Amino acid sequence: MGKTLTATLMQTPPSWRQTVFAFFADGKQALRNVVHHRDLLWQMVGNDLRGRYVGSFLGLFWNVIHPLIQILIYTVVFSQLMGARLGGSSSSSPYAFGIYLCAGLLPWGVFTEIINRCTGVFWENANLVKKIAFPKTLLYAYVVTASVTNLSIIVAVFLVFLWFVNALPPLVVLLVWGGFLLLQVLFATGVGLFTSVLNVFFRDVAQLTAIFLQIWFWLTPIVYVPSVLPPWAVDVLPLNIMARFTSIHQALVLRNELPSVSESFFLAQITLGTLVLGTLCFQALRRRIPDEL
Amino acid sequence: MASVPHVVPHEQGELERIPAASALRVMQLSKEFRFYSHPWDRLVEWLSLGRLQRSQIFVALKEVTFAVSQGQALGIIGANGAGKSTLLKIICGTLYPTTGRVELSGRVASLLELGTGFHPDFTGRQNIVFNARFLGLSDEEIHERMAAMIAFSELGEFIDRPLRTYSSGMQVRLAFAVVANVSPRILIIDEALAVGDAYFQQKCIRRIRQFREEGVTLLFVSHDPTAVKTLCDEALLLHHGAVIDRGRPEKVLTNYNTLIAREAGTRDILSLESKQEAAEDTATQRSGTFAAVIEQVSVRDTHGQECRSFLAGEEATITTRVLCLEEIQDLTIGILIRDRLGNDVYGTNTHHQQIEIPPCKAGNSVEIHFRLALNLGPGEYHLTVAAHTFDVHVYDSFDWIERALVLKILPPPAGKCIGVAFLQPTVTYQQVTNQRASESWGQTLARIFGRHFSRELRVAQTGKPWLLAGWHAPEGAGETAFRWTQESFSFLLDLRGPELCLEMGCDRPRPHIGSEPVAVSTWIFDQPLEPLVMGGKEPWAVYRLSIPQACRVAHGLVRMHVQGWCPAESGMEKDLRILGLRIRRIWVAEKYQDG
Repeated sequence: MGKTLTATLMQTPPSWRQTVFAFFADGKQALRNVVHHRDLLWQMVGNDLRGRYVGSFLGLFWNVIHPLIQILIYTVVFSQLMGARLGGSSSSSPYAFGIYLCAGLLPWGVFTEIINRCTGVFWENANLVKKIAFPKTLLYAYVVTASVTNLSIIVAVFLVFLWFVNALPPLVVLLVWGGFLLLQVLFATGVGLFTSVLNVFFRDVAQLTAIFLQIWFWLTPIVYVPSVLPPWAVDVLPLNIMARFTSIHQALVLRNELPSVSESFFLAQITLGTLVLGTLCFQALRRRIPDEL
Repeated sequence: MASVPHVVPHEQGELERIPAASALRVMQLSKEFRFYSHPWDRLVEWLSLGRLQRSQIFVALKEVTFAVSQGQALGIIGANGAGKSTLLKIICGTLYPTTGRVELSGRVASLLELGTGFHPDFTGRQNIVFNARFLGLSDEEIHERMAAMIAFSELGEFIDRPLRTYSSGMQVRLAFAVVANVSPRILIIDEALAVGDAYFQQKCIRRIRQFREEGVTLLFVSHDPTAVKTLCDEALLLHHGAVIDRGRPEKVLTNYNTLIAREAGTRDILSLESKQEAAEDTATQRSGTFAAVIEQVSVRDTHGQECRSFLAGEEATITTRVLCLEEIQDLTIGILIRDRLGNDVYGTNTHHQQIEIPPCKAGNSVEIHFRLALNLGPGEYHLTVAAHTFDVHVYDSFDWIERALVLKILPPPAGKCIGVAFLQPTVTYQQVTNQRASESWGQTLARIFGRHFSRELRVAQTGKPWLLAGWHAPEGAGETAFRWTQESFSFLLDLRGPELCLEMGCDRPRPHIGSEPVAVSTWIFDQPLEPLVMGGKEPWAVYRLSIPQACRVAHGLVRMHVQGWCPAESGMEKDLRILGLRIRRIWVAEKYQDG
């Protein structure tokens, strides 16, 4: 709801041509809405970050402590205490396996966070959706922004750790990694759009999504290296989009290898496709969402 | 026809008549909700791309069309589930219509439900900012108005405490404080106001009035008739999702009350019927050869809804379905409406209505609809239905159901009446000037009452031929006095004599109540006689009033006025009667008595 709101609602179902046109117009409008409501968006994100630890001693600081402990566990416990080493790795760092783990795990954590939170976003904010008129895209923007903020904190902590163990990649690599992290966030958003809308109508979707994400996690070489897989599994691995993303993260952080242009282009296409499909799904059903909550 | 609240005010062409400059236009708005008894049903419907319909559709709004011009206040009235909240939510933009559209411009602020968008862990101040942002205020605007909002809420130090420590009344204060300061163009208020205390409600109503002076358009939903009457210029009556009345709040509220009574009556009777059916009570009231049996009897209103309560004069359709068990020629189906006491009120049959039902084969059914205006007086009626041959049921009565249904007729919103008929008179009047110019009052009385007036009235005369007004019951069996309970009364008397004598006393049923003297004024026609004062303590005395010369006529009218006295009003006893005086005897003396 803006300064001037003119709600003109279609009377007859639109033709596909109108639908396509409306899709792009709506997308533009949705982005404009988010920009228009940026104050509100920041407040929602702030509420989210603060809200979790309201009234606690350390407050916002907990947002840093959690990832820090996580990283220390992966690196120190796995690498040092359990003595896990990265097989066939050229890196001589004793933290190589820990860094390998973090490079895959930390982005994965945010990936699942976005999808899981998107999936439940309408039910969690049912009170707002039912009672206040505001662009629903704001909810996605809020979940994604909160997650990206979270991701930034985690990555920052991770980079400090890398700097500490003398394994900080050069700036170019870091910038490329940032780009791929954002691409993965968009991919997660596309999936989240889809599951969030379906979850309004079928509440099992949230459970199915959570389970599916767990399976997906183990299908992706994050806590293990691809070389331990049997040859047929290695062959089908490229079908797993997240395996592609993860291997890029790992190569960038651990070996400072830049991904190929064709691979990057392919992932960008997949992400765009997912976003469009998710948005179409949202557009098709958004008017019925408040009825179900 | 009585003003039956079943006129859909928006007919064809209504859309064009809605002024384009309205602040709010709602056009042919419909809303359907789909319900699925199981998630599988939805899945099946979705996977079949809607070819398999597994949902129950609930129509919450049906083609609602109206417009509100800038600065107008519209009250929305309707029973629970009539679609009020759905309508408001669509206007607010939280729900989307199935078809139709809403056009409005400017900021819409709403107080729909409690705790809208509040975060329980944040303070009142933080929630104000959050809420104001949702209403589209920029940060500067919020900053400017913050002080005013906090002042309006009157929450004191609570403004910096978490919202979860607030009572529901305090939450409403906070919500209204925000709405009161966002300068909306359209303000939508649901029942929310009912939660606050009386003081804050008054404050809110004052603020709403101020909004109206500023030209804010108001939509107001309430069950409180006075609030709707005082705040709204117009009211809209929603019933089962459709607008069935719109106009002055008083008129619409009257129709709403009638509607509620009708619904309640129908529900009561239908539930009673279902109980009776369970008890199989009806079998005893059924007789006939059963060559044809009455399968079903129903009464429906003009909307086709099964209904048992109607407004006097409302149209109804009585439907009887008869199943022929053998082939039947000359089938006649009749209905008979009887009043509560069993008196026939109206009855007819297809034969008398000259409807010929073609021969009906065994196993076939005939359905007969009697569409009629129920021009019946308010009360309960029984409907009897019968299937027989020819015109009278005695020849070959197939099935006769005594008291098949109960119908309740409700008084119409205007033109209350009594009796079994609802005749709807046209009442006119004209003033007639001085028809009796040439007559004296006495002559007029003689012309009207046309008999000899008596010279003496005794309470023993129970025929009361002279009574005009105010006579009350005798004191008790064998008593010889009457009590006047009304303050004014009059009687007819042959006044040819010099003195009017009254044997009377103050009305004091128990001696301890009151001892003040009672003043009595007397008139003959328009001529006042000297005032009388009765002693409060004396039970009986004879009072004499001299009759002016001009009033000594054979046909006289005496009017008396007593200063009535009510024990309950003076706080002495609970006796609510107005006590006047008691009279034993009134007569006209032949000649003056001395002293």
